[in-house]
Amino acid sequence: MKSILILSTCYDVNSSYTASWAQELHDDLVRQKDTSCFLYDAQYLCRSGTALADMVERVDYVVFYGHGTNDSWIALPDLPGASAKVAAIPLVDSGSVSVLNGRKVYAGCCWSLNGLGNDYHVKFPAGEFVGYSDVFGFESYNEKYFKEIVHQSVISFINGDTAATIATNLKAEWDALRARFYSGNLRTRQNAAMAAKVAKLNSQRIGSKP
Amino acid sequence: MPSPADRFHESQFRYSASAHAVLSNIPSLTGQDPLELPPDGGFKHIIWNQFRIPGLLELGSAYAEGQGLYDESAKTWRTEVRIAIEQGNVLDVLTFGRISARLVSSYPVDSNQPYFSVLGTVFDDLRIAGSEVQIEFDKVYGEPTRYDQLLNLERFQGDRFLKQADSDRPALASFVSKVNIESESLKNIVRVDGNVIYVPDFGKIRLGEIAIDPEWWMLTLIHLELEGAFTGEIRLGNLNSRYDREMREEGPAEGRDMELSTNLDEEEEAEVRNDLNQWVNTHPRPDEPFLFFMGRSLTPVEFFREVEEKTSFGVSFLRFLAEQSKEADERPRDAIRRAVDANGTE
Repeated sequence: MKSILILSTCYDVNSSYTASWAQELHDDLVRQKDTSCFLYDAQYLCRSGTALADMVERVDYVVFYGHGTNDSWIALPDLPGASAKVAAIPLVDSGSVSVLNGRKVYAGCCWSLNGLGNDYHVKFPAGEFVGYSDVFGFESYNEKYFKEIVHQSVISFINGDTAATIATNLKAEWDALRARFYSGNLRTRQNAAMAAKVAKLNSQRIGSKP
Repeated sequence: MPSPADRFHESQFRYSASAHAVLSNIPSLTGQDPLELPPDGGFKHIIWNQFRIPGLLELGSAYAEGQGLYDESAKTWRTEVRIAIEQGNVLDVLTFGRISARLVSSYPVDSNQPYFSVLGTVFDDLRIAGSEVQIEFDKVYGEPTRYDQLLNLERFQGDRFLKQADSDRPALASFVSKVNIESESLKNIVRVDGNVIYVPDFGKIRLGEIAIDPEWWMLTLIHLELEGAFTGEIRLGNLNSRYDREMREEGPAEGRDMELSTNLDEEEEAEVRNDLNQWVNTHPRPDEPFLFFMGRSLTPVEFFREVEEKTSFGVSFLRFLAEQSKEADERPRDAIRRAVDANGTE
């Protein structure tokens, strides 16, 4: 029996896409044999006492889809236009990474591989963390191809592939998508050249800890 | 004064190196701050005060320093990270006076793989159950070496430590070539295999372990796998260095004034700009975001502006077209022409 916690945010156009990916992933995983899967909106867990820790305790895998910085997953965004700037509230950051409790982590967001990923690796040397070392991107007209790659890699991770295997395979998958958009069977789709560029950036930025 | 091109190279690179005095999955040994080299490079150091978990692990003192800089004369990014730990004692079985090492990596601008080397290795007064252990070092790791060069060395072809090189896990090697134990009584108790010492009721002591992949090295001076009354892993003196070269898409627009080569000739660049202009003008939703980098998005109009104004992202895209069109044996404009044609299909 495997248990997965999917955390996502949905507060702007970018995260509206990834939130729908999270929903689809959840719907697929709950239908998988011997699997339980929980989907939560991260904003409701960021300041809810031990709610996040309680959830993490009951799962084997934590998946996050949303916005990330180098050392945090963002639950609520900042409000820079306010007269007194209102800071973002993290769901998990370097100071609270222990809440992940050594569970295997898939960070479907920007940046968190090197900062938060390193903090996680220090706290949990036996843990596994998949993430991006820089900005993660996709192109909206061809969104389904990006989503499919992310989606399948999460399922492979949950079904037993190591973080290092996932990162290696994702690098190859993103590069293959780059080739399909630029000169392969997807080259005549709308915005294909731009989508190819984003796929290439993703292939350069995916990584794992260890 | 660095040239504009050198300043551009400098701004492209993100330094990535870290050091830990202790890494462990034993709860009482976690939580020490690591040394992390800032992505912009520079110099950083950290001193860990006396570390004492009675009966398990005691360290007198430890410090680490890291430095990242761009060497203009060699056109190379250079990263160094160093660690030293003094007066160590693990379970009163393994003791040492001082252990130290420096992991150096260099990334030539025109290379697609970094060079790594291990320098300044010290295992001073290393003892097991009070008996001295002598260490010999493998000199090959003292020379800057690329991953493919290392794997091609004949002596490594049959080396069991590098077997993982065929898988997607990092290859494991050691800069310790030989372990000598003179004490006859200790020889009767422990077993030595390469850089690994097996101690009954204590566990495995791996000396000078290096995890290697093409763009990342991780060095651990002493890696313990405890199997006795305490179980768990402890890594003492852990250094990481990673190759992390790429364009800073989100960085400041300082690149605009620099000599940024798009790798397209003038005619190709003009063709691409003209076709991109047509792509924007025929796009069904020119003002709606279509490219999403979690944190910002670009509309077709904004995308065109990035290319037109040669921002770092715009230049990066033009370079991408140059590279891909070469591979596909077509003109750079062809991919944009296809995008223009696709606009009409919706």
